Amino acid sequence: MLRLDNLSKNFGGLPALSQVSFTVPAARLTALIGPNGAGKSTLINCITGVLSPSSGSISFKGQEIAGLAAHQISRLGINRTFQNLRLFPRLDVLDNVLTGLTNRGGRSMLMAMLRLPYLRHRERNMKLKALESLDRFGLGEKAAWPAEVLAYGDKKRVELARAVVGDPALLLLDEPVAGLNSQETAAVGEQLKQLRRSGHTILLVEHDMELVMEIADQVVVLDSGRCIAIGTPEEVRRNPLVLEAYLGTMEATA
Amino acid sequence: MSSREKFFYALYQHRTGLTVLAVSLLLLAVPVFEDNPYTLGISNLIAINVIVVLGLNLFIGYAGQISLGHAAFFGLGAYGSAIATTNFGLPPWPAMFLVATAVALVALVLGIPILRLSGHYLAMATLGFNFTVHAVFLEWDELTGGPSGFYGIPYLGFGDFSFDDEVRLHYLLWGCAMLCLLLCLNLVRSGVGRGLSALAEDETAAAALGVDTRSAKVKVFVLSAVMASLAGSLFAHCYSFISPDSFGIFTSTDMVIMVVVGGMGSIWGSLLGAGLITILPEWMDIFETYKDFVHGAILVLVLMFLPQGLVSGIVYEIKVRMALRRNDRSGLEQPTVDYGQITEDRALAGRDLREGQTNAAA
Amino acid sequence: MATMLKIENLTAHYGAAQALFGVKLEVEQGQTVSLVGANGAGKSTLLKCLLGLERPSGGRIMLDGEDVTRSGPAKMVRFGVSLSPEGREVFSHLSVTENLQLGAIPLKLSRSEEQLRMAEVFDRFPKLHERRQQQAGTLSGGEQQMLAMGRALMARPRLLLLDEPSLGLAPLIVDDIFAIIRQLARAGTTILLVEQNAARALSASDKAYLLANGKIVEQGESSALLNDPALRSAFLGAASDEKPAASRLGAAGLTNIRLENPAMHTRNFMPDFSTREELEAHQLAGLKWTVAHAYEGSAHYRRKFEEADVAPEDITGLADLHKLPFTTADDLRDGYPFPLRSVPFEQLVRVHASSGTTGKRKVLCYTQKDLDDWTHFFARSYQMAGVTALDRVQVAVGYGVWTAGMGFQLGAEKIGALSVPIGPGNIDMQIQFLLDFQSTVFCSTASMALLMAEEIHKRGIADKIAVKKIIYGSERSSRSMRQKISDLFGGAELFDITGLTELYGPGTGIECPDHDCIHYWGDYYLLEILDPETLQPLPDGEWGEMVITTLCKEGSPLIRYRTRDITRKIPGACTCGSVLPRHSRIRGRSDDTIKFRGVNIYPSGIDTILSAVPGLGSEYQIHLKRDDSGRDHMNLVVERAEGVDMPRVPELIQEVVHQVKKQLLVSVKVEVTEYGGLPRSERKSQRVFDNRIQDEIV
Repeated sequence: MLRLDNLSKNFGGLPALSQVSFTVPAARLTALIGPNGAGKSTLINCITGVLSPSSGSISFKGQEIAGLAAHQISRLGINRTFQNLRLFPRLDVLDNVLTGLTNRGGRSMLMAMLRLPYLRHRERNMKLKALESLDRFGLGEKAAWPAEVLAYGDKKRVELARAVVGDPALLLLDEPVAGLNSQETAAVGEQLKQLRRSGHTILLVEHDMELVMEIADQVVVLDSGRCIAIGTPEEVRRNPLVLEAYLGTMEATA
Repeated sequence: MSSREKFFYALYQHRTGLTVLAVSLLLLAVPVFEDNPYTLGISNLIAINVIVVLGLNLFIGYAGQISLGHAAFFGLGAYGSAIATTNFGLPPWPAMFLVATAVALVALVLGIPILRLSGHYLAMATLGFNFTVHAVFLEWDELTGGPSGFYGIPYLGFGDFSFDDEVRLHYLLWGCAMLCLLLCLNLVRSGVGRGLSALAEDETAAAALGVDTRSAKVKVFVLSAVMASLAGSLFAHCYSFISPDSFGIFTSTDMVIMVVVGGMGSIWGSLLGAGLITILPEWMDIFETYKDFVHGAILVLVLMFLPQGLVSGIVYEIKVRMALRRNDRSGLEQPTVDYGQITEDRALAGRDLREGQTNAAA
Repeated sequence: MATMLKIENLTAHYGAAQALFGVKLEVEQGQTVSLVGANGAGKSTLLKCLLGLERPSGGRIMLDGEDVTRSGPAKMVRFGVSLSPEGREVFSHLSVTENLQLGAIPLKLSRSEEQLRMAEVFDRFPKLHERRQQQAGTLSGGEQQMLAMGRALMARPRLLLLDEPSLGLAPLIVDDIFAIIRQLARAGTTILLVEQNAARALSASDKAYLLANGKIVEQGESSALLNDPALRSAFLGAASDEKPAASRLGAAGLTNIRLENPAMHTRNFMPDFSTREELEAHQLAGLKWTVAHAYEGSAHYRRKFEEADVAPEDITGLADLHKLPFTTADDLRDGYPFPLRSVPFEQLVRVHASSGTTGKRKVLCYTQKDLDDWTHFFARSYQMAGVTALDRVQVAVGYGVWTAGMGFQLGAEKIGALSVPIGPGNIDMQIQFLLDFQSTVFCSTASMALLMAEEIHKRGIADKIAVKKIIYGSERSSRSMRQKISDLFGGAELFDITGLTELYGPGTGIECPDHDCIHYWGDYYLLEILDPETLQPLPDGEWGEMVITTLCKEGSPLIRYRTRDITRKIPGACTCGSVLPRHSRIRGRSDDTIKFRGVNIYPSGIDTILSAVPGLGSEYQIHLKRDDSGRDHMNLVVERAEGVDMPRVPELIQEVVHQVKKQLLVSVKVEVTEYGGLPRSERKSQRVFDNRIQDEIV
C-alpha cells in the first residue's frame, strides 16, 4: 500500500531522516516506534505533505506522492490524526467529523450556494455517515456540543472518528493514546483492532509499548532518523539494537 | 411517521429558506407602514451594507482572514458602474455584472499573491490596496470627477419603470440583500462552507483533510470582492452621485466593525452588524465629531467581552452552557471514583475566550 | 519537618463550572508529593491556583506559613515556587539559552549569577548544553521536557511544581526524567509532582494524593497506595497486573502449534487439473457417462430423452448439452418418493429430503459412491476455507433427513477436523459448547449466525470464544448482515457455502478466500446460466438462472436441472489462485423476485441499498399491499442500528426513500423500528410478506 524508499529529510544541516525504507502492507497495522527525536513525526509529516522530503521517494498504491500538497495527498485517500490534537474547537463535534468527509463533498462554491436537491441529498448522506462514525466511538450524544468543551479523551476520539469517517485507504495515527488513562487506552486499542479487522491499513506512531505489542502486525523502529529494525512485535522486542536504543529497562509503564 | 410529524420535519428541513422568506415578507410589509423617505433611505443604505458585509463576513468570519480594504472593491463597483453607464452609455444591469466580473479579475490577480500572507501582513496589504484605489479615484479626475465626485448616474429600471424613489429602491435593495443572504446561508451550511470554517480554525488540519487552502482563500476573497462590487454598483445607481470620500480606509474599517459586531461567522449576524453600525451615526448626532472614537470604542468593548461578535458569541455561549449543564448532570449520577469531565477543558476554553480571538490579530 | 506548602479548602471556578471542591493538601520540606488523577480531575487547575495564574474562589494557600493565596505568578516565583508546565510550553522561537534566561526573570539576577545557574542546569541536562543555541521549537519532546524543567530550576525554587513530565515521552526518556526528579529530591528540592501515570508518580514520591472530579479521594504513603488492589484496578487498570503479551500467546496456542509442526499431515482435496482443456475433457467424459447412465437406469429420463429426440450417442461435445431436455421440481414431485432414480434399489444406501420452504419436500436418493463423492468435495470446501485437522467445527445445522447436518459433519471429519455435531437451535448449549470446546469454525444458516452473534454480544463473551471462521449457507445474506455477524463474533471470516438438496447437499461450492466470488466444483457438475424466460444461454457475467447437470451422480442424476436460483458466472482467473470455475453469490431465487408496479425487484437489491445507508441495522421486512383502487404499495420496515436514537429517524427514512427511488426507480414507504424489533429466526428468515391478492392457488 505505502512504500518508502531511501527517504531523507534535512532541516538546514540537521538530518532528521536518513535513508529510511520500509513498506506498509495493506489491511495490516504497522507501528512506528522510536525514541523522541528519532524522526517519527517528521516522517509522518513527509508522508502527509506537510513537509517535503529532501530526497527519496514515497509511493502510495504505486503512485509517487513525495512533494505533493497536503490536500492532494488527503484526496488520494490518506487521512491522519495529530500528536497535539488538531480539532476545530469552535465547531460542533458533528461538524468536526463532517470535515473528514470533505473529499466526498463538492468543491464548487456556486453549487453550494444554489443548494440544489442533489446537494441536499449528499449532505444528508454525509450527515448520517458522520453520525454513524460518532456512534462507533460512543460520542453520538455529544454531536451538537462545541468540540472545545469535551474532555481530552473524548476529543481524541473525535479526531479518530474524523480520520476514519471517510474510509481512507491509509490511516496515519500520530500518538492516538498519548495522555489517555489505561481505560481509555484499552478502548482505543479495541477500536484500532476493529479497524484493522474491517480491512483498513494503519500506520501508527506510538510510545505505549503494551499497546503496540498487542495490536501491531509489523513494527518499524527509528532511531536518530534511521530505520534500525523492522519486524513482528516479538522480533523487534528481542532485537538488541532496539533494546539498546529505546526500550531500556521497562518498569511499569501503565 | 404521522403526517403531522412529516409536516414538522419538512418545516425543519427547509428552515433556512422559510426563515429568509418570512423575514423578506416582513420587509415587504415595511413601506406600507413607514413611508418616511428619510427612514427608508437609511434602511436602503443598510441593505447595501448588508450585501458588502455578507461577503466580507465570509472572508473574515468564515475563512478566517482579514481585509481592511474592501471599500476599494465597493468603490470600484460604484465608479465602474457610474462610468460605464454615464460615459459609455451601457445599460445599467449588464454594466453592473460586467463591472463585477472585472472586479473579480482584479481580486483574483491581487488575491493570489497577497493571500500567501497572513495576519498583520495581510491586513497591511489590503489597506495598501485601498489607499491606492482611493488615490486613483481622487486623482484621475477626467474619468472619475475627482474630489467633487461623479454626478448624474442613471437609475436602475426596467423599460419605463425606474427605481427612483425610496420605496421602490427599498424593494430592489432588500430583494437583492435577501437573495445574497440566502445564497450565503446555503454556502455556509454546505460541505464547502464547513471547509472554510475549518480553514479559519486550523489551516494545517484543514489541509490534511483535503481542503485546498490556498485556492479556497482566493475564491472567498474574489466572492467577497464581487459582492462588494455589486453593492457598490447598487449604491451608485441608488444615490445618483458618488464621491471618493465614501470609499476610503475609514469605510473599510466600518465594514470590518460591522462584521465583528454582528458576529464573525454568523450570517444573520451580518444583518445586525450592518444595521447597528449604519444607524449608529443617526443616534449619535451629538457625537458627530467623535464618530470614529465611538466606533472604535464599540469595537474594543465587543472584542473584550464577546470577541466572536454579538450574534456568534451569544449563540456559542448558549451552546457551551447547554452542553455543560448536561455534562454536570450526568457527572453527578456516577460514583466518586470517576474519570473527570469538562472542567479542565472549560478552563482552556475560558482562557481562550478571555484572551480574545480576533482573527485580525491572528 | 517543616510544612513547606499547605493548601486549605481550596475551591476554584471557571465561570459557572466548579473545578475544585475544597482541596486540602500538604507538602513538607524536602518531600516529593505526587498528585495523581485523570484528565479533567483538576490537577492543572490546582497548580495554576498555586502559582497565581488562576484566582481561587475560596480557601487558602500557605507557603512556609505565609498566605500567598492572591499572589500573582511573578511574586510566587520570587517566593521560590516554579513550574514546569504541562505540555512543556517552551518558547519555540527562542533559543534554549533564552528560554532558560526567562526562567529567572522575576528574580532580577546579576549576570554572573545567571551564568552560574545556567551552568548548573547544563550540568544536569547535558543534552541541553549541546543544543543551547538551537530554537526550542526544534527540540524533541524529551529535550523540551528537560528544557521546561531546567527553566523552572533556574529560579532555584524552594518548591518545584512538575505538571505531567511524562506526557508523550518514550519510556527510556521517561526513565531519564524520573531519574533526574529523584536526583533533585535527593538534593533536597521539595517537589509537587502532578501525573496521570500513577505507577510512575507513586514510585517516585513519598506521599500521594488522588484527585478525581476536583476532590481528593485518597491520600497516603505512596508505597501503600501502589500496592492497594482496589486502587490498582481503578487507576492502573488490570493490564498492569499481568503481562498482557503472555496471555495473548496462550490463547493463540493453536496457531503456534500449527506453524511449528509442519509435518502435520494435510490432505489435498483439490482436483489436479491445471488447464481449462483438462477440466473440459473431464467434464465431457462425465456428461457422456451421466446421459448414458440416466438413459439406461431411469425410465423417466428415457421417456424425456425420447420426447426430446436425443440419445446418448448424440452427446459428442459439451455444446451438445443444449440438446438435452430440462428437469424441474415438477419432475421430482412426480417421481416421489424416489424421483430420478437411476440405479437398482440394492445400491441405494440413503435418502435425504429438503426443508420444503419453497414448496413440496424434495427427496433424493444416494448410492455409496454419491456419499463418498459428496464427502470428498465437502472436504474440499473446508480446505478452500482454510480449515485444517486442527480446527474444531461446530455443526449447528439440521440433522435427520436434512442434508446439512451430515454434509457438514462428514466433510469436517474427512478433512481431519474435530466435529462438534450439536445440531440446530438451543442457543444456550451452542454458546456453552463454543466456550467449552473453543470451536474455531461455526456452521449454520445466516439467520442463526446472526442470532448467535447477537447473543454473544449480549453476553459480552466475544473475546472468550475462538471462532475464526463461519461457514453458512442455504440463505441469502446482505453485506451489512455479514459485517455485523463478523464484528460481533470478534472478527470472524465468513464463507458462503452453496448447495442444493437435489445436488447432493451443501458443499457444492464455497466462497473464495479472497471473498470476491464462489468457486464451484466444475469437476462434479456443469453449470449453465440461462435466461429464465427464454431458457437461452447468457454470456458470462450476466445474471441468470442456474441450471445444473451432474457428471458422476449415480442415485438420482440431474440433467439440466433448473434450480430457480439466480447468479452469474465470473470469467477469468481468480486472485486466490484456484483454477476452479466461479460464480457470484446467489442473488436470490427467480421466484423471489417481487413484481411491483411493473418493475422486477430482487430482495438482494434491497439488501444492497440498505447496507449502504449508515445507521441502519441488517434486518428488514417488505410488506406488499394492494389498496381498493388496485394500486400496489410497498412498505419497507427496517431496523435501525444499535444505539441510534429517535431524532435521526426522519433523516434515515428520507435517505432510504431517496436511494430506493434512485436505484430501483420505485417509491416505497419506509418505517424505521428500533434495533431488535424484527423477529430473528434460527432457520431462514422470512422477509417478504406479499398480501396482495394472489390469483394462483398453490
